[in-house]
Amino acid sequence: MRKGSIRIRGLSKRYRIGVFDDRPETLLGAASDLVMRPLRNLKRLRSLTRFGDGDSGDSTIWALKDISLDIHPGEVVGVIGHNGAGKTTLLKILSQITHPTRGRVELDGRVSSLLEVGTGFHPELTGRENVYLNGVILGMRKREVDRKFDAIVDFSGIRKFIDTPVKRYSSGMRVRLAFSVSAHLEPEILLIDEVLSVGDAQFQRKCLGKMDEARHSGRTILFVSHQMAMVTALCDRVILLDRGQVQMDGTSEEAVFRYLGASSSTGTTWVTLGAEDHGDDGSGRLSLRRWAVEDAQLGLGTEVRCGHRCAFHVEYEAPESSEGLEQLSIAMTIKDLLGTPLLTASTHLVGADFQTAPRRGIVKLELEQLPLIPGTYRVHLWTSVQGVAAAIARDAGQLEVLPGDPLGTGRLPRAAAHGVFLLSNYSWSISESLDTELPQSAGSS
Amino acid sequence: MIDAGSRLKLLDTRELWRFRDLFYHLVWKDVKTRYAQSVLGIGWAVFQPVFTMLVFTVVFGNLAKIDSDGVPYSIFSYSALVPWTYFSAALTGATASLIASSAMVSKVYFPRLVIPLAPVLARLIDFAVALAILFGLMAWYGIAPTVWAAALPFLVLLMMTCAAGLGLWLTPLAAQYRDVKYAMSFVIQMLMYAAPVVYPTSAVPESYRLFYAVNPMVGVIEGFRSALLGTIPMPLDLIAVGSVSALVILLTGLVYFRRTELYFADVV
Ligand SMILES: Nc1ncnc2c1ncn2[C@@H]1O[C@H](COP(=O)(O)OP(=O)(O)OP(=O)(O)O)[C@@H](O)[C@H]1O
Ligand SMILES: [Mg+2]
Repeated sequence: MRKGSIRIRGLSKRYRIGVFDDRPETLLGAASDLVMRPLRNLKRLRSLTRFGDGDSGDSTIWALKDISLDIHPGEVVGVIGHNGAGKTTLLKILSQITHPTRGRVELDGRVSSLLEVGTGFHPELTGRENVYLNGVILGMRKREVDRKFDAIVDFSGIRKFIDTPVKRYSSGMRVRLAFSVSAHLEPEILLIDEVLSVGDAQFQRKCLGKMDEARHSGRTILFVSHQMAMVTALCDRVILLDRGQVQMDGTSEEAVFRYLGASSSTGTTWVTLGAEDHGDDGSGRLSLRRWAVEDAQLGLGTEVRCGHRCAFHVEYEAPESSEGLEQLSIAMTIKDLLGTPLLTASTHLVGADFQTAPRRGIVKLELEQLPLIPGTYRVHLWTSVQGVAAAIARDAGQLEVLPGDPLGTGRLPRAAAHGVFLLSNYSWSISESLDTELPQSAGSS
Repeated sequence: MIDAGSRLKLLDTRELWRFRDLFYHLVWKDVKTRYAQSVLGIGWAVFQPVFTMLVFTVVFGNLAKIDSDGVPYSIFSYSALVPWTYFSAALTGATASLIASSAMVSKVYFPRLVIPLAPVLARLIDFAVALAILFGLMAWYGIAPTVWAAALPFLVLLMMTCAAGLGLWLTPLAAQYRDVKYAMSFVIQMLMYAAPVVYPTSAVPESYRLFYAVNPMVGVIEGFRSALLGTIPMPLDLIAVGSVSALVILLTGLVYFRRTELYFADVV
């Protein structure tokens, strides 16, 4: 076996859950319960680690059921699934924290896992002491930590707080430090469970960079996350777990699409625009409050599925003094992460400015199809009142386009291969000779 | 290589060696947290056995007039309290250790053995301090150690084996059954009366003595007294029985611990 590979065969893990605790209903029952309780308690506690054949299905749960997987060196594999699907359990078995009930795993190389915010951090100790503590818990030598200490602290970006007790850290700062230590362990296999989401955007980018670097040096990464955009951006391969079983093992687009199709969690999250984003030009005639994008499956938030119907909602407000607004014009531009404008929807361009508008309201923009390939984009909002520019939010926040099946073929477009825009209205034909005939479109004469 | 069906090696020394810095750290932390935020600090290592000695001297020496093999009762009981205090502290520490570090256990992998073994080593500091006081008392009473004092390191090793062995048994039990933790102080008190702390072994009928020595602390305590106070000739038979029994406890404890450690993360 090559360093960094993982081979899993028939892996199952059974947990005991049902803590059967029936209350006595009569006085006699209560009395006998008093006597019998220690015996029953003993049985119950014993059963935590012993599983008889006669165990009913109620009191135990198969957190993992007959999982077989091969993961190759250098692969970045995402693991997704609903709460309780068994993702953490899988990582715990791989990192030898707990033992499987059945099956085997062959791992080659040093394994490091990051299962929770600030794992093994001691709140009373300072960041510096905790770096050492965390390092030795993960199996580093003290000398090794000495050597890497500066790199770890630099990467975490919290040098200023390094001599502050960790209990005064924010949870994001804890994750920064913990991830930095884990990443500098230079393991052949890195297991990460839903922790990076606590970090801010800048740190997340840094982590993605580090993981990319790890991938290029042939390290294997297993990455559990509920953030589909992150999974799609980072992983070549995604495993979808459902009630302890592998429901799908394929490209990230396929697995995420399948997962989103099965979920119906409709949340409501708005992106609130801070004072500096209102882009108030000083005239104070209008300010932008918040925006969100609506997807039938995903609810109101910042995520849409590629090629599906969606609607953008933008809330604005004019000062108390004004009665209402005349000739309100609004435009939304979507840019890529480098800031290159990709497309714009504008009331002005299509000649549909609002001649009158209420003092405060929510503008809705409906799209039959957002022609963007899965990825992360940035939203730019622009308004004018009576032809004079009003509030402008140059960077109103991120828009995540998640995998979808817009063409209805089950073949999912991918950013890496298929560009930025989704093209769907085209036709292919084949003939023996050159066919220069262009069909007339309905609008032209 | 993780295999549901496989039996683990009894002792993975290479893995333990890899994590030796973690072990040092745990020992150091144990020592440090024990005395952090305490007024007496390391004074506790002295205070506890000395005060117990005073009480025992009044109650058992002066009131009950228990025989003390020809030396003052105070030094007679103190020489037993030095190893005994270590034993009870190490055992209590080991038993509580797994529950105390449950957060770590359920989130990171490392050889679980380092957890109960850390207090077994850490309490040696207290032991050394208490031992120094014993030497002071001996000087005060004008008692010189015998040549058998050279055997002290072996007795210390036996004492540690005994604490570690019982610790390995009780740690997993305590994680699964919290009763063990509650019962600890009571059980240790009872055990003290099953060892020659307040009375001499000569008070035990001759025919029961070897059976009595199955408790390894019997050999340790009488060994201490014989080596340092010269109360009785070195009780080699008691120590031999105790050594065998301590080894058996350690080995079976290790087997039990290794078998149960696979599920620590699930139950703590
Ligand atoms: N120590 C335990 N004892 C009993 N049951 C457990 C234990 N740990 C996990 N489980 C059960 O195993 C199942 C899988 O849990 P797991 O933590 O792997 O889910 P997950 O996929 O990580 O979920 P999430 O997305 O919420 O993190 C759950 O039903 C959970 O209740
Ligand atoms: Mg989880």
